[in-house]
Amino acid sequence: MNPGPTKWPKYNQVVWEPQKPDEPRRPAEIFHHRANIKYSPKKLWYIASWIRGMSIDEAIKQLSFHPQVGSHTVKEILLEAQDLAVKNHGVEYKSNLWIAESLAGRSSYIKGLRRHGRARYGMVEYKYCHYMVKLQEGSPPEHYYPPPPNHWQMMEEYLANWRRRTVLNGLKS
Amino acid sequence: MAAHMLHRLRVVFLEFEQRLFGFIRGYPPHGIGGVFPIADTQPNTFPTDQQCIRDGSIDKQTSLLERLVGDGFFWAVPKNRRTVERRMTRRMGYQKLINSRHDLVTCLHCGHYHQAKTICGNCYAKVQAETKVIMDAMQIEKWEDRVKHSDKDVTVLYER
Repeated sequence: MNPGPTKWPKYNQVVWEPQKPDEPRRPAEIFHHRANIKYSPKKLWYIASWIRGMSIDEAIKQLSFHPQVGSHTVKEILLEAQDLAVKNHGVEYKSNLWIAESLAGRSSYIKGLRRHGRARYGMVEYKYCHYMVKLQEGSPPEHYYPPPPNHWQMMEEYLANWRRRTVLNGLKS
Repeated sequence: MAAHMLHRLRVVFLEFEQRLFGFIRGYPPHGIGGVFPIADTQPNTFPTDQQCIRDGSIDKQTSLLERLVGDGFFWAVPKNRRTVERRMTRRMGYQKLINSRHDLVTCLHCGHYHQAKTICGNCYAKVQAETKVIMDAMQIEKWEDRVKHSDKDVTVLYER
């Protein structure tokens, strides 16, 4: 069967050099994944993208009440990752984690045949996917993706663009 | 080669249509001895006339079916390619993304989360387990059947 993601688990083996006293504390990062989940990667993408930027408690709560089948699998994986964080990665409080990265990837598709009426056959794809998650210690940021600019920012951007203009072949100032 | 075949098919179809309409009209396409019983505004140009094909004017002739059906013999087919921007907006736009639920509250008794205005699932499971034990002792299948024991007094005894 498909071996699964090869780089993702290696990120856990990264060892940082000791921090200097004046440096801000580097938060713990926990990389976890599950390979060859019997689910469509396109469907899993919706669940993976939904929980990005949530705290782990909020993600588990929301996934518990989501009707899709993939949400149950992702919840299991998150609980596993939370457990590993406390045991192996030196995280003190299991609630003090947030979902920094959440990805769905394609695994192998197995092809099969299905019979239709009048001896007509169609191809069926049995889809498998991988799910990768990175938990980070701390509270989640306010905005995971950059928010749309407010009116003041839009005005500043507008002025900056006009002031950036140069006269071609003009004098150097 | 496929294009040539399609062209030949079209010519054959045009020829068939002209012959058919000629039959319906009552006189052959070229008229009787070259004379038409009724004055035609548009003289019939018979499609298999080699001159038509050599000219290329065959391509300008449109059959009745072509005029009715319009461009192409196939219906319900995409006319233009869907751009990748539209494709992505349809699949990953705001209307397709999952929305979080805001009606999940904590149970005051057990601390589990549940949907607001509904019973807590954890508490309900406990109640169900207890009820099952009582029902097994009373040897009834449904909770509604307990009234059948109304001739006997049933007391539920909780042992420490």
